[in-house]
Amino acid sequence: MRIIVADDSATARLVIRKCLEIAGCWGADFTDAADGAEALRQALRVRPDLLVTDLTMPVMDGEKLLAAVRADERLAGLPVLIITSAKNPAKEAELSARGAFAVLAKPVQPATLAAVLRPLLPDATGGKKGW
Amino acid sequence: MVMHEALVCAVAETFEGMLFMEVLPADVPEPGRDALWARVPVLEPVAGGVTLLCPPGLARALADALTMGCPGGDLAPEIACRVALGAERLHLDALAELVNTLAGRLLGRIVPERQAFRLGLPETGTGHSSGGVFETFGFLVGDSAFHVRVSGLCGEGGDV
Repeated sequence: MRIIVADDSATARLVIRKCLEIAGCWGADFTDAADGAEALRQALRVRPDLLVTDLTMPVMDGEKLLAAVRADERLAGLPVLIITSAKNPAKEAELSARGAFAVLAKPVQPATLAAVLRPLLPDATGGKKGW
Repeated sequence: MVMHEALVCAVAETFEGMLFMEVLPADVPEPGRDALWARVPVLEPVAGGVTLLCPPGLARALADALTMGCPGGDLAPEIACRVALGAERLHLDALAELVNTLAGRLLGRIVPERQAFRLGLPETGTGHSSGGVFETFGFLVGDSAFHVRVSGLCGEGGDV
């Protein structure tokens, strides 16, 4: 499984990566990105199975990244999971309508991530789910 | 919800959720001149900011807890992270992530559900200025004190 983690904080990327591993993504091939533009470049290069992004980032923020991913045929179907401190019901509805796979509030917990990611993770027989 | 109550809840949620640390509100001395700080600007629905101020020793302990505290992984990414950032940068980066989460939790409590809010990019530094209009709230984590400063978010009645 290939996962891109986009956040301008190295600490946040590390914590999210650890949470993803505990949530069932152990052994995944992680790629870090410090802003949305870098995440988009990396997404086109590595064709990830999942893109996890913050909203507030320099250069290109998470909302613009989501729009860019949704507008690019080469990334059609790529699940974009947004983990943000700026989540409330209004923001979640807005981002879901724009094509976010899920929106989670920081601090994210592995159990919450595991529940959200269940449809994307390999099943018990080793078969891959998701897109 | 009034500001102080919302802030205490937000701080507790942030520290317990990210660090497994219990935090108590407390009347503690003003932060020292060597404090490390991280501030998140609030851009919408009002202009303001949330600042976390910590003595260097506590900042180091919080960064250690945040970056090493996730069980189940090898240490290589943490070591790589430390080498890449340097110790003080890492401590400030960890404070920035903490205050970013804290600000989100606080705004989530005081902004109406139907209204989105927007935060800016975190800023960090050392030392602190006593200038500007803000309210300072003290907390204890273990035996260590830290402060949270809030500006622009207290309207009449203590709400946004």
